[in-house]
Amino acid sequence: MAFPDTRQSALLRLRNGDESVRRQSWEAIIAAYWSPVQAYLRKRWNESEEDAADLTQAFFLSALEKGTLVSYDPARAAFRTYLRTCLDRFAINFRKRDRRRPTAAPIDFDLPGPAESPDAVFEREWIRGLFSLAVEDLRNLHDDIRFRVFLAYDLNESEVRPTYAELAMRFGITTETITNYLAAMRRQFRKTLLTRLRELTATEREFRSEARAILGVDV
Amino acid sequence: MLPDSVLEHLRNVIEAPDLDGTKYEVIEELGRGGNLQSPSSRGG
Repeated sequence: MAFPDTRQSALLRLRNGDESVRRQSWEAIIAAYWSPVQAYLRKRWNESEEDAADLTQAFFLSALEKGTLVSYDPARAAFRTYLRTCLDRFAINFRKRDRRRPTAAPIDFDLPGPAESPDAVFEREWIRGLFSLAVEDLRNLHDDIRFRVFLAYDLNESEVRPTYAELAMRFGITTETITNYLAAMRRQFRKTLLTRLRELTATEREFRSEARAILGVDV
Repeated sequence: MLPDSVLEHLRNVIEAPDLDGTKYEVIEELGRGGNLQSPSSRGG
């Protein structure tokens, strides 16, 4: 799948007059936020895995029907902050309507302790989703030996990664070529990641702020 | 979805210094401690 280097913001395209454009924007937003929303519901609202999945679906359906996300104002907050606020409001109202669930306040994770806060869980899952989408974009762009080297080393899930010499032998190329392929793929991955991030932010300021939070550097 | 170990690794490597245009190149990651990594490099 080829895509332009500078995608338009999906958040802004939610207001596009073309229904197919709006649908693509929704798909991009849901792909990035489904997992963090579900994890946040489990952590902050103490939902079971099954109920969190149902609530996640209900939340996005409600947001679509009510146009909640279209109302986002980039001047007031980052999109993921806005979305989390909407999610808390949705969860409160849902509990008021559902007598099976307690109406008490959400679990307070601000107490000192080793437990990861719901906000941290949301951020971690948001970053995981963003990186996962960027990996798939990279796979679609580079279905060749360079991606297979990247897969074998940087995406390796085992505890001990192979050495460059082992990879060189496996792929029948030199260690210098392994080095060059990985360097090229990492540059391309970073570019792909930032393209995805640009799609999921509304303004240049938000994009740079999120890039700094995720990559730790100014872009 | 990417597991934690891969996610951490990717965040580290894309933050690594870009040595393009310099006489140095990263040869291989030597080790890792916490969030730090020690790339091996050499001058050309």
